[in-house]
Amino acid sequence: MTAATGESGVARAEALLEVGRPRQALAELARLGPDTAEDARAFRLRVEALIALDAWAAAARTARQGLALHSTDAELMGQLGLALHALGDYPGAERALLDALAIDPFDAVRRCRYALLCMSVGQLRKATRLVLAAAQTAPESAIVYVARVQLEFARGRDRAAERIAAEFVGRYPSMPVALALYGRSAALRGRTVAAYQSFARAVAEDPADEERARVAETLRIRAHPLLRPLRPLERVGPVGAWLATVVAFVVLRAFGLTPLAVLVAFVSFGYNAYSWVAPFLVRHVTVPVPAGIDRPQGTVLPDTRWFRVLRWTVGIGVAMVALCCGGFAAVDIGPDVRAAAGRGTPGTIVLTTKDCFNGKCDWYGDFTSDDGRVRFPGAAMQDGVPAGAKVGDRLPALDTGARDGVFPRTGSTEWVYVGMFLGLSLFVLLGDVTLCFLVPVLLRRRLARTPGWPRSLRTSR
Amino acid sequence: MSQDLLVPTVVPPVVRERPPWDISGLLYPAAFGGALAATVLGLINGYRLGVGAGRQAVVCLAGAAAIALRIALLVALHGRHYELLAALNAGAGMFAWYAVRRVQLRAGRAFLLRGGETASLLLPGLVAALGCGLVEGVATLLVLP
Repeated sequence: MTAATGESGVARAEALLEVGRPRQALAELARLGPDTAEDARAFRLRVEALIALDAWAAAARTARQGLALHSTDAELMGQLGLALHALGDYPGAERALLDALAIDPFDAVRRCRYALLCMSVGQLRKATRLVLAAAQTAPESAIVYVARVQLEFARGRDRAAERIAAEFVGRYPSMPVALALYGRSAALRGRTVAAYQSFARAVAEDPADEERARVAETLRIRAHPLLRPLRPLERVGPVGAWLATVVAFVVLRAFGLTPLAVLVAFVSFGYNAYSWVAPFLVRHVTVPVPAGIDRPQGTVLPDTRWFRVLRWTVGIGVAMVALCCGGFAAVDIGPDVRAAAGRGTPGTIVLTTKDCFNGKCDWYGDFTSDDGRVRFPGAAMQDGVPAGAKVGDRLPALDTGARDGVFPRTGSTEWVYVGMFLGLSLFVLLGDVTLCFLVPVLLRRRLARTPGWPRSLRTSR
Repeated sequence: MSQDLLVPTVVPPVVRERPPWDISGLLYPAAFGGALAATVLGLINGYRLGVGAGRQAVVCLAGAAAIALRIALLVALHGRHYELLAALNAGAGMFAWYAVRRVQLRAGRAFLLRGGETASLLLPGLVAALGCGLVEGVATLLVLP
């Protein structure tokens, strides 16, 4: 192989960098003759290739070598600043960028790089002024768009960041950085599908970028069926959802629909609890599908020993709690429904005890049926007593077979709360059995029919 | 370009042993555990982000105000309207979380711009929501008539 010499070798390296082949560009630059190899342009291309490969330490070292020979090269200084910024040497990066700006104060790229450095250490005022100055020089430049999006992100203005990122994508539709920035902004605004699509396009444009591929995979997981119910919450935001719940609760109570208001509160609580736990579950109980294998369901549950122990422990524990709660509610629901319908043994309760706690009072007394056949000493008066009642009062009551009390003859709404509790217990039991026992079995069966799936995953129990 | 922009101002950011949590994620322990959970987690997160003492004091004050407001409302209601307890608890927690967010958002975003990865909040969040919720509940019962 002949050594590349002169301008042709440098031009080839430049062309290789433009088509996204930094390794080949480095190889081309390594073959340059001694005179051209120490040229400022060759150093710049070498540093650019190393930056494209994320070899930041080598990029900084090479930039310093270049600056030792070409001490007034502003671009090399800017590249050194970029590399030092990536390496976490913020004061060093600032020195290099300021040196570059001292040579050419109107360079939009280096202004934006300095602005990005200021953003990463929280100096947003200075960053804003730098970005404005850069935007005056080169408003349509890609790095100015990047700096504007990042500035809004750093300020916490996600809506503005998304708008600018959309402009950026409109101006540079196939630029991976633009697509990734739009994807991130959309994800922050709760637009998971748009975010995933944007990141997927960014990965398609630049498949070598592992970080973007990782984010795209994360967003793909967020599009998991288990997380689909959370999309409205992502759009509205947790604060908005909570306010909507409170408003619904207050309005329903104002119209006297207390049971419905309580139901709304229960559902909202469960939904919010699910939104907290579900992303963690999806992220941690799924494993990547090996390459080259048709995925049966996108993701599969792991089958490690600790996970099996966890699954059985949680599954059995939650099932027992749900069964106990549901059992109590199931015992009570019959008498409560009978009380609501006014069916039972009529009689009279003589109030004997008032038990108050924290402002709320329970009443107890001795119940005797009208025909004298049923006696229930120490019965709790469900649904309370009329205002102004006192110990010794005789109140008409109905014994419906409840284990701990009797009801007013005027009817009872106790069945609503007990019914909701019973429904919630059954829902938890059903969810527990499905997630902890049914889904793993179904997945294992499906995997067993998948050709090429690792045997350990197919058969392990 | 103004010459003052060319004056070095960058100070190396504070780096703690443990990374901070996602500030949006703090909302969940705040809503479920109440203002005390939000304040405790917010203060720890502020330390990890390296925010100043003044801003930490703002978080403390907001948390204390949220707890005081919640107790005052409960006392005013004479302990009735139990169905409002959960909403009030969540509201106070979210108020404290909002203060944390206002104070720490920019520091958190700067951390992300430096390429930092936030720590998982699931276990600390559960512990804070349960522990602080219990403490706050007991304290409320002691205060109420």
